Amino acid sequence: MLSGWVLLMVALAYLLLLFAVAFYGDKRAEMGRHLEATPYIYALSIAVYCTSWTFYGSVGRAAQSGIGFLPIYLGPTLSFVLGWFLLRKIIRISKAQRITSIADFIASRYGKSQGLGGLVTVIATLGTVPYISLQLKAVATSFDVMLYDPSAVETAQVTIGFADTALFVAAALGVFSILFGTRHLDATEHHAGMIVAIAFESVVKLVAFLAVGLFVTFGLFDGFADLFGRAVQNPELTRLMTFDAAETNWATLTLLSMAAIICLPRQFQVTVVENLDESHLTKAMWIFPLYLLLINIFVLPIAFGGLLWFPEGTVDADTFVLALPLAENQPLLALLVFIGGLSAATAMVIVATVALSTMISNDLIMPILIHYQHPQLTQREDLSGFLLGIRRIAILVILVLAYFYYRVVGDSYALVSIGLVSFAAAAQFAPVMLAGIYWRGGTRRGAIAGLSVGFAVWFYTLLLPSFARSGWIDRSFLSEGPFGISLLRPYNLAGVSDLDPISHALFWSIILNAGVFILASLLDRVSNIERIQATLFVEVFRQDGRDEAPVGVWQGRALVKDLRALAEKFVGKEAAESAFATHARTRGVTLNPEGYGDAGLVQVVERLIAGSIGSASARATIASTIRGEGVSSEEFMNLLDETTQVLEYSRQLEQKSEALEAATRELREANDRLLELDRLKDEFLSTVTHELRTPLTSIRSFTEILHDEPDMSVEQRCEFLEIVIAESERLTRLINEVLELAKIQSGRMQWNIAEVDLKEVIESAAATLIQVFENSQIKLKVEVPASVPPVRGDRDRLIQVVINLLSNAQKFCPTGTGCVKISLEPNPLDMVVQVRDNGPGIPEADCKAIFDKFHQVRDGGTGNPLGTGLGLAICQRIVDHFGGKIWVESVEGEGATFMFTVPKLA
Amino acid sequence: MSERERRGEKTAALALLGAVLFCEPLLDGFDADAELLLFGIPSLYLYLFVAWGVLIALLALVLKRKDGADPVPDARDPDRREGG
Repeated sequence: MLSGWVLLMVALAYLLLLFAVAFYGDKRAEMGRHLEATPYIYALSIAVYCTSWTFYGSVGRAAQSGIGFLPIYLGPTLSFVLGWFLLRKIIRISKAQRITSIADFIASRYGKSQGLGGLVTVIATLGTVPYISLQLKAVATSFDVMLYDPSAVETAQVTIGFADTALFVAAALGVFSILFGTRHLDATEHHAGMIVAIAFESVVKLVAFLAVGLFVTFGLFDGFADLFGRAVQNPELTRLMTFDAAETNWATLTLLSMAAIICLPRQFQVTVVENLDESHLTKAMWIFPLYLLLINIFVLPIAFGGLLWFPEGTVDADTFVLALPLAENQPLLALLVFIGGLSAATAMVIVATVALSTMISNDLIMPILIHYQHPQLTQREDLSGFLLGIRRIAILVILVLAYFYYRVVGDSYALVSIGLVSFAAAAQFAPVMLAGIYWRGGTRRGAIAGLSVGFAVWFYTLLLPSFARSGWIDRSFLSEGPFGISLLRPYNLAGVSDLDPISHALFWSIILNAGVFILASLLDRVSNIERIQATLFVEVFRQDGRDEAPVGVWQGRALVKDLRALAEKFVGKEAAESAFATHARTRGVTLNPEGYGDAGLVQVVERLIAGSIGSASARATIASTIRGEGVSSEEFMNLLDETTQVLEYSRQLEQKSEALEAATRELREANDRLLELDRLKDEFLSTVTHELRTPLTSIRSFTEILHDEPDMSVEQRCEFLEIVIAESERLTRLINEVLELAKIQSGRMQWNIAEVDLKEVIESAAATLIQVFENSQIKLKVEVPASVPPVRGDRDRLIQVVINLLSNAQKFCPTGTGCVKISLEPNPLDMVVQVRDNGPGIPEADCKAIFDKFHQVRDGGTGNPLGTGLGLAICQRIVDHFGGKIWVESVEGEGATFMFTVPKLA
Repeated sequence: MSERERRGEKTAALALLGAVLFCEPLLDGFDADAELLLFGIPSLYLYLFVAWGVLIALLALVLKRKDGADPVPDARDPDRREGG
């Protein structure tokens, strides 16, 4: 047996060595030559996952359930295989958001919520307490085993008064962690020295474990074959070689440890927060699993060796690793193993307490102090000492809690069972973490609800029962349920009885956690800040990597000097100075202390202090600073503005589509009009051809008769010739009209513009037609004033218009009763000529179209056109030319009134 | 498809392989003759450690960069860069 003093000195010397390593690591980092900046150190630091649980507990577990210890290491392997999608994304997000802990991560994802950060911190702390007590138990036991006969450990604990070994261990670890983890405050939360020391410890524990494994396998036994060959002889040991012995919660443990490797606060710390370079992950993805494989190779040989070596039940299997070398009188090897176990425990305690104390100060204490405007915050110039104080107290509190948990529960559980309780607590973070990086719909309230429910179930189904089993609570709580309600039995909730306690707790807590989280999120409304953060998290690979959130989260204004004072308060003068200088340089601005900081600067400061107090607290602090300037509404307006922009954008889209529709409609109308014109043209062509052919035909037939019949009487000859002449005239008229219209349209018309007396125009037109009217027995009334002022125009053309209107009226009037009246009325500006008939009238639809060329009003009966369809079109163009108007008013069945105006001479 | 995406997909395939290798029904099969020693080691144990080792080896192989060097990832969106 080793003397206690030697052991103590060795332990102390080892801890001092750790300090030296950490110091060296820090110094190198300060000089910019980062020792920890290699993937190997990074992977080894992740191996902080292997604690006393692995070092002592795995063998204990293997002695009970054979291969059943392995899922705890297969799970992390699978998680790391998936690291490409999972860890890489979490690391990328955390770098962009300057995440300092898992509480910070979750709080930041769900809208930088302080409440959520606090909740995560509480869960993480309470969840880690059993885990740390596991380390206390393991180290205390290892002391006792080293000092006394392993088989007499139970009776021979060092006790001074109420104190026992574990208390000394707790005190030593507490002091060590405080000295180690909170030496200084780092804005980035990178602990270079700590990481190097942790990696060093990982090497030590691996070497120690491999050494004892080799010793057992090849020293005590003659290799694997000999060892297992002897074990096969024993039916009890053969049972351990079956999967059956391990099966009860194989899948549960695999899933649990898959979640734990990501969600345990200390794993998050080393894997994500302390990651210096994303590319290190690529190597660590296989090195870390390889480490797990190596450290587990000899677990089974040592377990079987211990079971074969010691008489059944005399030595606790959790201590086989130490007890075997001691029993074989190998004190140096035992010392190495002891140091290895100490490494495993101290590494875990250091990282866990550093991670937790950061969370406690950033996400629990600071928000409360900020909320109540604690005087410390407002009076102190430099808060870094105050923050370190909070962290140190937090570390002590955690260790005290762990010690008490050990005193209450420690003896009634094996190492692994204690650890699993902590795993199950950490697994509660998995739903909000995974959903947080892949699903945008999760909300703050949903996350709080889910986590609360999951935590409550964990507390009820795992933590309370552990107190019950150790006798702190009446044991009937387990067997009969609280108040005898059997449905509420903590190991058989709702009567579920087929599951072991861990699987049972995990089943209920995760189902309820995820279920409530999803349900509450779906029923909730996503706020603006939550949406922004959700996008930053879920789409982290689509952002262009600038480690800045898009400007727009903060648009408030604050004085530069206030911002600087704030930054100095939390990160110290130097760091603030360099951050401001960098900002000024990259943005190319000079910062006037009395001026207002731009939004970018506010963001820089927020990120800067987020490094020391967490994102949620940083946001609240910045908000209070900006609010002091009375512009908090600006931020609100800005967030509102985003929505407005979206609305504006969609409104513009709507307008554009409306415009498109209108354009389409116009085009369609134009097309219809074109088609109509085309149709009219075709019709006109056939009409004109027809009109031309009719006189031609009669001229031809009459001239043929005249030619063929030389004996015709003179009278008859004259009669025929008159017809030929009339038809020729008609033909000429038609052709003239066509030509005339073409002329007017092409602007080649000759106009003889002069002063014209409209009275004389109407009278001569009437005189021309008087014979026609008489022939068709239609009355023509001419009503013109005695004298009219002259107008400007072409006399012949105006006569043409009047004749056209009169002959039109004549054509449509009924023979005998027909009556056409033409009148002239002077207006202030122009003269109005009216031609009224009592014919059938014009349908209203035609009143406009009638002036289009080629448009003909058909005779109701035959469908034959009564005119050429050109007369009115020509009239309109002539009147237009003189600056007048022509139109028609008509009541169907009562006749029509054509009117045109000619402006008076100015 | 970029080399980088390809690698991500290969690791996903390996994760599936791992899930199969370590699944309960498969491991149950070893119980029939548990005391069978291969190379002096119980078959279940040997299988699990070998499968685990192979999985890690495959992962290392997939993640090994062809050019050997481990370039510092460009902060400016390596995915887009390599996707082009």
